[in-house]
Amino acid sequence: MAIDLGKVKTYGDTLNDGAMQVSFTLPVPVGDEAKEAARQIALKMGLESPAITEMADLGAGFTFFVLYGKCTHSVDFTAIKVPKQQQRILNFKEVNNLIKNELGRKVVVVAACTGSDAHTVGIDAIINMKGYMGEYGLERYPEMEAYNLGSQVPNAELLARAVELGADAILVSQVVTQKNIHLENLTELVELSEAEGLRDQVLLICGGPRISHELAIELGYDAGFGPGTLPNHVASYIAAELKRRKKTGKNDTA
Amino acid sequence: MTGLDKLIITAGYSSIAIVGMTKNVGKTVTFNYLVETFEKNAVALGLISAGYDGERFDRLTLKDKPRIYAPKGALVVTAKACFDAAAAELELLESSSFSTPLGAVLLARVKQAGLVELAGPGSVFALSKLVAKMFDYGAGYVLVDGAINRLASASPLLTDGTILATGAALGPTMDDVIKKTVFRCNLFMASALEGEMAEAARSGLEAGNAALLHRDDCALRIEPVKATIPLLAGAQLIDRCLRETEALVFGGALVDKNLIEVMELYPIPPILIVKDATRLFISPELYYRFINQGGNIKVLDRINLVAITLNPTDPCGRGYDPQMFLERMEEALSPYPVFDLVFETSNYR
Repeated sequence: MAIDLGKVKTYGDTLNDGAMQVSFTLPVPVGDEAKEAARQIALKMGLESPAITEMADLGAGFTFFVLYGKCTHSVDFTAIKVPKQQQRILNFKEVNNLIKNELGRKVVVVAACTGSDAHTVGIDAIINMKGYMGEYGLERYPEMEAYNLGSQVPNAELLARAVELGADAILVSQVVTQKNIHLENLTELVELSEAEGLRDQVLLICGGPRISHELAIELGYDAGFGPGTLPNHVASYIAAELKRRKKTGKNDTA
Repeated sequence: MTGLDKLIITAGYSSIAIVGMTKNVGKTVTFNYLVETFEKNAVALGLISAGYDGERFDRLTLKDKPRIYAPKGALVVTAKACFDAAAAELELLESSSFSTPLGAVLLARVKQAGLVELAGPGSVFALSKLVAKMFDYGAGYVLVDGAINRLASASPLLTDGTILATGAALGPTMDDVIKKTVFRCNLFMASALEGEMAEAARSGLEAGNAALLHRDDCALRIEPVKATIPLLAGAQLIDRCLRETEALVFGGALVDKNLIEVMELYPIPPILIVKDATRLFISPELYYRFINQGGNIKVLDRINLVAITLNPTDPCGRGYDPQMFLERMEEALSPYPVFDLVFETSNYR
């Protein structure tokens, strides 16, 4: 049977049966009433014929459910358009070759966890020589000079150090929570570099568990890297972007 | 019509920055409101974002965000991937040399109205180039939507007028929201220098990236200071201060430390001069202490604050009665006009 992409439904045993499994907790004591409550929630969610396959007493008057049902909704897959990032990921060797052949000089990268943040796990995975998941960190790249300034570095200090070291890129690691503190610490670096007339002279890159490319653009960074990022992803971006800027001359602005 | 568009037109501003005090205070609502009213007046618009706007959901809270509906004939600047994914039909006019993680930044004209996501270049330099391009292509007004709490797009280098969005999301209480907004407006209100001292400050910044202005007899003596970045030059000023120093000129950011040092050295501090109010990185407590001690902060180029817009609800929590919030804000921010564009209320006439 051909799949109708205009009406995509969830799949269980047969195409378009709409089957799905959901699990949740209700703040009511285990029992027949709890089971009926779970069934009614499922119906309100648009699940037909909900079948509760698991009900577990969580204690203290809470009950956990697993149930199956047939979802009545469908989506038009053909109408979905999502802006996607396109970046070619190079390996360790390719990055170094690119820098050597195209830029002809070492690339300086300065990294830090800024503001009040002391979660250095992410930045260490990217910078430290031993690297992460079998990928060497930037310190190991022969064509790069990487400086890890550690944690709780004030933005002004990071900026001053970066200029002293002649940084091509500044890497900032930050655990962005829903409270705006870290967010505003990230934007402060951008605003400060703008006020100092440095914004177009250095690549600003942020990373952290909540960071995506879209958020990076919103924050005013040149790029952002989220969970699952390996050192060579960051290195590829830096090398490719520096090459691009060298060609377009975008950086010769100050 | 609430008069927000009229304010812009009467003042003769053609490029408007919409900046916010934080996330979720209604920057994009204000942006959309202006798009709609200007469209009714049949004005060709240029639309650009200093961040990312019109996205389907908030990247942090996963909540719905206001989308951006681009009218036919408008000029838009956005990244390649957003251009490809736009529901509006766009005609490519030009590809710029600027790039984002979502591809090259493109300039396009809207052939068929519809939703767009605007991903802009972050830097003021890139934004100013693209704003100028939109005027070249015939835009009558250009709107620059801000991002989070970033204020750089309010820079007089980029836009003629600024609208500040604020709202319940800014703080835990209404008083706190008012206090923070008033502080920001106070900084924006910093008056522009004129005459002898303005000239002296400008020539000081040509020779260095910070400067001291000393009063010798009648004339001002300029002592420029140069360092790798203005911030470091600014830090050196304090060691060169004299009894007859009348003003300190900062070529880049003015930070808390500068205020503290100046207040320690002088019973009545000299005038502190920055290029514009986007260079002020100071905390409210120190600012008010400085002012109370007789201090004065001046700018070379003033930000023209057109109005303040309000969002009385925080999508992640509390909300206030719109009428009461508006009245309290108007009282605190007078003489600036304050608008609640969703409830279409303002006492501004």
